[in-house]
Amino acid sequence: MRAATDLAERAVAGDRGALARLLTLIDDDAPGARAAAARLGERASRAWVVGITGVPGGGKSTLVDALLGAWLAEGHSVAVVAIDPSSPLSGGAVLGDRIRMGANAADERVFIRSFSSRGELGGLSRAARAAVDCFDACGFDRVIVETVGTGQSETAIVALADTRVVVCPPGLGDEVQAIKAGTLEIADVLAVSKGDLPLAPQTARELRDMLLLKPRATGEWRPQAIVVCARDGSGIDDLRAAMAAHRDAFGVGRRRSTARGAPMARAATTASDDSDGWRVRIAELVARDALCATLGVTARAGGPGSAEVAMTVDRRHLNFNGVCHGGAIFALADSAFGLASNSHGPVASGIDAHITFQTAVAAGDTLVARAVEVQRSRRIGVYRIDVVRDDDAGETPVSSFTGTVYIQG
Amino acid sequence: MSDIATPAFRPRVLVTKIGLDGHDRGSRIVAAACRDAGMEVIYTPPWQSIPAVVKLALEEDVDVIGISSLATDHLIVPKLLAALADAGLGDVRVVVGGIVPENEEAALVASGVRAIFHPGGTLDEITSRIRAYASETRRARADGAKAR
Amino acid sequence: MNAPADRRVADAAGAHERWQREYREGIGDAREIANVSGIPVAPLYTAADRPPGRDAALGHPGQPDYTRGIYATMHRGRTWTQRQLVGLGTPADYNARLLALLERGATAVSLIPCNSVYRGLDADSVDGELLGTCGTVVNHAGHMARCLDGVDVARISCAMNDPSPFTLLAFMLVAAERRGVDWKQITGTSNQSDYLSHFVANHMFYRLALPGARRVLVDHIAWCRTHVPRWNPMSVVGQHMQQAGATPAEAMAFTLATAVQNAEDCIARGMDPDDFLPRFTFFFDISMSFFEEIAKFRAGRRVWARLARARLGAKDERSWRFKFHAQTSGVDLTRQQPLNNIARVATQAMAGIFGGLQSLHTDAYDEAYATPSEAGARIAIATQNILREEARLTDVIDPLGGSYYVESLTDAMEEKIVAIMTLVDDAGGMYKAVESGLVQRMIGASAMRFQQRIESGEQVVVGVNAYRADDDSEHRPPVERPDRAAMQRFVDDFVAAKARRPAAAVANALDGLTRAAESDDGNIFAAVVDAARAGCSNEEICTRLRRDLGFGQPLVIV
Repeated sequence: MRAATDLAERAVAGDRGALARLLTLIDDDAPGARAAAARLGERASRAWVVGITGVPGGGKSTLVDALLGAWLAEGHSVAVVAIDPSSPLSGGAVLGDRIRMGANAADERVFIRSFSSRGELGGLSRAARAAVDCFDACGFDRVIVETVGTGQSETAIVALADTRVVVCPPGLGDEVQAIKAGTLEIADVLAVSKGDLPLAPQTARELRDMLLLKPRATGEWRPQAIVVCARDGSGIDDLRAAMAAHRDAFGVGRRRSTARGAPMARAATTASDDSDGWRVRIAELVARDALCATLGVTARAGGPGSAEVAMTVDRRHLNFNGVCHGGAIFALADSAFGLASNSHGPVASGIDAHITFQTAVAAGDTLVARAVEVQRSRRIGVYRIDVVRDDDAGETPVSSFTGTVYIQG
Repeated sequence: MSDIATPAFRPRVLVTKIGLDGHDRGSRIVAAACRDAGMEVIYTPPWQSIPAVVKLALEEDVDVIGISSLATDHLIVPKLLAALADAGLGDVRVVVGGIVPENEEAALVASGVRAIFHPGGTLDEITSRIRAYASETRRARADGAKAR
Repeated sequence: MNAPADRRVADAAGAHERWQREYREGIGDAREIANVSGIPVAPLYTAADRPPGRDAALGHPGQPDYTRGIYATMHRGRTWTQRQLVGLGTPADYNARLLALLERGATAVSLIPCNSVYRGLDADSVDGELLGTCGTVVNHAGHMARCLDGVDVARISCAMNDPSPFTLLAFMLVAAERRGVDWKQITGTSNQSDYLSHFVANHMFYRLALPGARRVLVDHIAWCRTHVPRWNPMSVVGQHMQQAGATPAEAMAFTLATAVQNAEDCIARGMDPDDFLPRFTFFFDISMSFFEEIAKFRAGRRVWARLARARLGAKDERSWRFKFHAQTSGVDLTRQQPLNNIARVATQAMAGIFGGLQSLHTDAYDEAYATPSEAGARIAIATQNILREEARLTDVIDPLGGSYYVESLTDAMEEKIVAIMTLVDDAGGMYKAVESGLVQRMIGASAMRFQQRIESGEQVVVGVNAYRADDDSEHRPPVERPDRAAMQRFVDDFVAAKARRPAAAVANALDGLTRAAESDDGNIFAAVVDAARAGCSNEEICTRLRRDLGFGQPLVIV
């Protein structure tokens, strides 16, 4: 406890080594570390926190490097929180983002810290929020939070960043709608990377069309899609202008005051006057579902935009290693997904889903999948499904699932 | 309070190459093995300058630095150790893997290198020793903090 | 009454069954064995394994598809070139070692520069400890002239091991010019011209960004065709990838795919394939997997002949011939019990010879942990001489041709190679496959698999995971480093020489590089030669081109 406080004081006084060690204590959740960071956080909300997310290989890190260069040239000091997914099997990770920030990483005014997601259900390192507070308090006036776009990270970034940039590589075509619809929902600015490729302008157009689908109230922020080419720097100025416009409109340090900071609600306790009616409806749907019957998936609860189903793992769910087949867990989560997304009436078709597995599951385990609605517009819905193992000891996280639907009609 | 008692302790390891050589087949395999053994690995391309390595080690608060050296880049490892000490990172354990002629081992060890992994060792041996060194680093830091 | 042929067939079937029975009884469990490329290997191959008529269609040496050899005479007519890599210390050190080797039977020159040169750094930019330890420090034309003192470059083939932008060749041409040697007589190879293989593996050779390196290569090929017509400006390298962990089939497939990519780039520039393809050579690794390597080379010849003809539209037979230099695999050598490496190198060399190589480098036994000592270098050359003149391996062309096993394996390797090349084509060709990291991921996976085979003991490495000895360090003599004082004097001389140059000429020449890089049709390599003539150094040339074309940073994939 004392060590963390001591390090925090030295960090604020400019000791970079102390700052680094404090971040480790935060990452390891050492006693008193998060509290020390929170106290630091109270001191400052000066830094502009920019969240940057995108698929691996999509040009995100190169873009971060370009932003770094531009900001350094203007005399800013920049901290980068780079988050990579950890291996669900071993819990380890290769943290490879910072190597793409080559020359800029050497600058005195830059501090880059890599985190692994450490099995965080939201994909975003638990420590990231505390790290951002630390950097803010230590005087960095820009903080970049860089994550891999896997559906979960983006939604968690909502809680942390003042301005959210989503990086899309060109040429995804139809997949643009599918994969990143949920991501696009949270973007404040969209960057189409690798702008020198021929498909870049078209991708930007497709993204703009998709954004138009979302009904917005007058005065609500309208994200732009900007084509950038980090190689020759084209579009970077426009991108920065769009980001700055967002910052000017909404301010910085918003993580401290908005409800976005609250964790995602659990579906099972969604208020609904008609919970029995919902359970019956869901049970009917599950009874009609051939795969649910095959796997033994049962309905437990439901509501508008939510659903809860369960499955007890037995021999028929096992893979060749004798543990529960990932496909069975996927099917369970996907069942909750389908029920929740279709609960409003119009038929919703799944167009993208992503799952991570945190723990192996054995025969005899009872799994519960709960779906919540993260976002829903006229055409697109995004859902988060948490799968837990339910036993005497309580609930253990097993898997996280994110899915996107296209709503018909 | 001891860092290593924290359940979430994961060794943070830097795997890198300094100097001029670019052969990285071995270092990539070791990095992957460390990840598969549950460690957090920062892996860099070859040709890192010593100041860059020191800055990285500082910001990432690494526990162990693994230098891959197949040609003669081990000859400047003592310079790296001196630079780490200057930056207050003398607790960080440094190990070298690759090709080191026998008659040059002593100089490395004298400069502070904890271990030299020659070809022929198994990945398990390497990762368990790296993990042990990481614990040593954490303990040394915790002791240092208590002393203040 | 049975016709004799029928009875032979019936007898043969019965004989085979009997063998199978006795084999199973003798062996016990039937454990399947696969080679490194993943092809299953049976305990016995017979005529029954060969599709009818297949081997009759095998062809002859010197005739398409060249499975049995690219020339009618092969080694019996002209033995393979003994081209030993040499690189250490200062140019004077290199020259001494080279002349000694030539005297002992080496028939060609190969120059390995210091890692600092590969990185595009001059001797005065680098830590002194790192200079000249793995190669010779050559920073300008004067140094190259010293390296080649007493060597008639008009008569002896010289391989320059430098990557884009090929400054070493430029230095050599300038040195030759100053001696009055006509460039049209010069033979040799730009041994490290394969920028794609450098991007994938062996990154130390990688200086310019990928698109820039692509352009410089085509400029280099075009310029050499005109000015040094007997020079091989393209050496497509499979060795780097195999040393990085690619299986033999992958190495061959990726190499052929690279050759296709480079050829297509030249064709897109307006060049005629029959003009440049005869000057494409290949450079391969030879591993310990003896028969697999032989089959790899034979299959490679066959696949290349078809590609050159059908895909690249070459009409001249010389374009279809797959000429290659091979080096025994360093990765297979061990630090433990190093004298064992002599047996390894002999085995690998034999596989290459049976595979039909044109040029061979045999590693010294101490290459696993040092640049070769004199003794090691001597034994390496002797190995080649013994194989050729005592074992008389050159007496018969393609002696393993017709072997049931070797022909079956050649066919299987061909199939695998073609399948991998299809993957690359599906990814849009080798450039795109490499740019996206596909090739690197495949090679990384193969490397990991190989490591696991060793760790599990499935693949034995004598002296390492089996047959260990307690201590064999007496065969690892202390490694000698270049004389630091001599190297320091060399660096001081170099710095002084740079200061004496006419600054305007140097600046002009460097600007010439920029002009060529910025123009659509300027030839960058021509500008490099001009810069070499004006006394520019390797670092100056590389730095300017990196500024104009981009600094090379290969993908890092773990």
